[in-house]
Amino acid sequence: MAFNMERLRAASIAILMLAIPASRLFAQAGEPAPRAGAAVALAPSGAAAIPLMPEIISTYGASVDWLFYLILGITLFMMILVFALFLLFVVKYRHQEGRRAKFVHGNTRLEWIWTSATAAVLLWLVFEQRDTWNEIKQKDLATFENPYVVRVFAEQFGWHFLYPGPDGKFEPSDEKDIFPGINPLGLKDPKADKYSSVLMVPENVPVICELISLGKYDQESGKSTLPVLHSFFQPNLRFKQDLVPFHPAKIWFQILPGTLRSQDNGERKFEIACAELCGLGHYTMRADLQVLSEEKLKAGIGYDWKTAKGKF
Amino acid sequence: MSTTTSTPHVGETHAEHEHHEPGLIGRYIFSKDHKVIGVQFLFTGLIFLILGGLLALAVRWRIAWPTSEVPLFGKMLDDAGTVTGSEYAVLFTMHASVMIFFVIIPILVGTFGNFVIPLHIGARDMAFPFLNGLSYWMMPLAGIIILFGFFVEGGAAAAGWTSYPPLSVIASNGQTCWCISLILVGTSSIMGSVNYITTIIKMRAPGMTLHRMSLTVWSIFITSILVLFGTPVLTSALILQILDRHAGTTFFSHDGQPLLYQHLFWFYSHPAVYIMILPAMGVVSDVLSVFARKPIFGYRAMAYSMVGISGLGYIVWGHHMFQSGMNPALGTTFMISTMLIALPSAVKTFNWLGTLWGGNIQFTTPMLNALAFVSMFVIGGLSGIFMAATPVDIHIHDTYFIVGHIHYVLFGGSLFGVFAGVAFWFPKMFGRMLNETLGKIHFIGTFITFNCTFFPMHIVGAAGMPRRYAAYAVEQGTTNTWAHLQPYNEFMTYSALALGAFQILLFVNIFWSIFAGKKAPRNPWNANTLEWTLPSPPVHGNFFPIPEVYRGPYEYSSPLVAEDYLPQSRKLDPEAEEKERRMEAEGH
Repeated sequence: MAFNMERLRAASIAILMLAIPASRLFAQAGEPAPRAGAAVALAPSGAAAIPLMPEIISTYGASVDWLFYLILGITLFMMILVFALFLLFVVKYRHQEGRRAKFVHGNTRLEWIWTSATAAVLLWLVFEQRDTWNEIKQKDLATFENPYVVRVFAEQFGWHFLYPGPDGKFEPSDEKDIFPGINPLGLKDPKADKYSSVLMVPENVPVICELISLGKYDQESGKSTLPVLHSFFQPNLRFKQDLVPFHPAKIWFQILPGTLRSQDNGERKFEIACAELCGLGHYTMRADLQVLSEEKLKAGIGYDWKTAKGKF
Repeated sequence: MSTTTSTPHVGETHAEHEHHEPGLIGRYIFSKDHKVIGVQFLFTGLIFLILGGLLALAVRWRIAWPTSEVPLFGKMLDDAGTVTGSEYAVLFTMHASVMIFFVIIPILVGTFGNFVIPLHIGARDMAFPFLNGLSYWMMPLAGIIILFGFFVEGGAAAAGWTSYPPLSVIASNGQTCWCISLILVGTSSIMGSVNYITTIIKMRAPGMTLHRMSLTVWSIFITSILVLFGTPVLTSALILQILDRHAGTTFFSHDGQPLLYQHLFWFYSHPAVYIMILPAMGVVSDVLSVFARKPIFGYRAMAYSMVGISGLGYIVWGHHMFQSGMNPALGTTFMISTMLIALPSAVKTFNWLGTLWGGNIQFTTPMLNALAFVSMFVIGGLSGIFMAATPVDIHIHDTYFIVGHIHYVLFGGSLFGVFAGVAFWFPKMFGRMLNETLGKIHFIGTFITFNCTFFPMHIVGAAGMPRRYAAYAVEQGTTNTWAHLQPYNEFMTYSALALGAFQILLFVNIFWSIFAGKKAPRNPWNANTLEWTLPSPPVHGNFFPIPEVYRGPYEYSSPLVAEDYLPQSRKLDPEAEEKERRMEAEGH
């Protein structure tokens, strides 16, 4: 979406604009100019060489990665520039008997230039990221015409996913009706909705999830523990959102078409992990995100979500 | 060497009449002498450094080898001698709490603040010596209380050093120890900061204008202002948390506001990041200038950028909460202020480079550590831009990328700053020189193993590997996304073990040199600031008489004198004085 050559070129030009005045000034000050061109060429290729960013499966993932690599390019460039000058100075100006250091207290013009150049790059980054953030976290979810809806429940230490069922509505729930294994969410009619410990979603359809943090209910004492913070994190989506007790949040994502490859046979798994410390078993709090073809999804949740038109 | 200050002669001033020789306990234990209190902070901090380091190694051991027995300390853990998942949560919580509140803040602010401020501004002691002693004694008390958590039912605090409710409200009793301990540490910090601010404003020697103060003093001045306005907010949040835990209130739990705690916590704890780095920046600026034999580049920009950091430091706390459920529109606001705060840090880095340019650089142990500070702070500062960018933060928040970043700032930055400062002032503190060879071996070993330990964290963090996980391969998650990164984790643990081993040299060097080091002259580094005109170590009361200050602290390689340094208190002959005044007017 946002990742195209024009932007890459704009980035390189901006980096050059930063580098040229700096190199000229150091040339004026009697120092050899740093080879800015080589560093600029290195930065983007070095960025692309890091193999560890996981595969993207969401529509907005590419714009997150674009920003990541843009910042990586700029910071790598700055790091190389600073380290090159640093090493040059440390070697060239190492102590020699009888030599005297320059008696210089500063250079106002140089200081103004590097301050404003840095400010310009930082401001550029401010504007560059605004749209992506708004797209991911501030989207008006009412604009989606026929979204796929799921309720996501988190408790110490597991995930529950609830699908609205053929009637498209979520059942009311009460913690007193919770029976682990039979009715883990305490639904009034556990058969009316589809419950699963796996998040099953279709490709290329906006998915809206409501995130709810649950306490643990103990039937014997009739009391429930306090719900705590969790965080819904799926690295391939490039998405993360904390779950705040008593303050449910709605999030959205859309799986990129083509995520299901021919060898996947209509189903592919990714890992959902809790990213906010939620207790001693925090690290065990994982679940699967399953991307399914239409047929497999129908079989998985037991009804056709398109005709059900789920709503919160 | 030339000094104009006279040697102490007793009975010269009124203050001297009040001063009577205290006994052994009065001199070394319940001392009110700022120098002794500074050294007390140093030793307490070093003891906690050992503890915090061992906790860190246990954390690393668990990540690399979850099912193997911990060597030497396995008996202290469960029956099998391995670190269990729940012990792991205690370990990383206590590691961070100990390192932040009992190592870095006490050494940077407590040691350098106490030891350096009066010596640098030409004062006999702190404005409130008794308050100063009290501020120190709060710290070991707080340390005992936080460690007492290990022995209460349920074990020590395990809710992370951030201790977010509601988890911290339902956590074990150790959490209450943690809260009380932090309230005491905070009180200690507040008492210290009041003292520093008053001393710096009221007790400077004649001629010591604000713009003739060293950057160490400037940095601690600004840090103290941050402490004074930030810490009470944390203290109140901790009191509310204790009430939620024990008095049945619901400020942060039940239908209360869990996010309110996060706001209060980060309103202190973000400035606290600057509390942990600004004094190191000041110390390093001084060390760089001394050993580059060159005036600091852009003195005023250096001082004012710290003022800028402290001002902006109060309006960036929300960047810790981008994914917390806070209104995302606020995310944009905090993103802008966070981008802006990168600016003064960049200015400081360029100025350090400018200081090195054209110098005559001596590679002493303090200088090597100061150079490491600059280069590691560049990495730590630049990696901060990733998480300032809100969309990138969605991916890397709560992953090892953050852990890598914070360690580049707090170890690569603050701790190398501590090493530089301790090596620099050691001769003045103990009257002995540190062993240079040992110091250099310690430096090189630490520098290499530090980078091997923490740099890979950025790579596994970019892969999304979450922090605070006791294991990455578990039965529940069938995909186990991060299990293939285990070789990285093992490499980092090997490096961390080596990093820990190299710190033995630091302790050997310090304790061996205190007793058997070479005797230190008054001014071993040929430095300009006032403490180097005094004997090593200076007597109680420091200056007899109070010196007159004629210039700033960074006049190295001045053309006015034959030597390459010009002490702040040296009076020049009238002709040179006239020349100096002219140079000053020209902006030198």
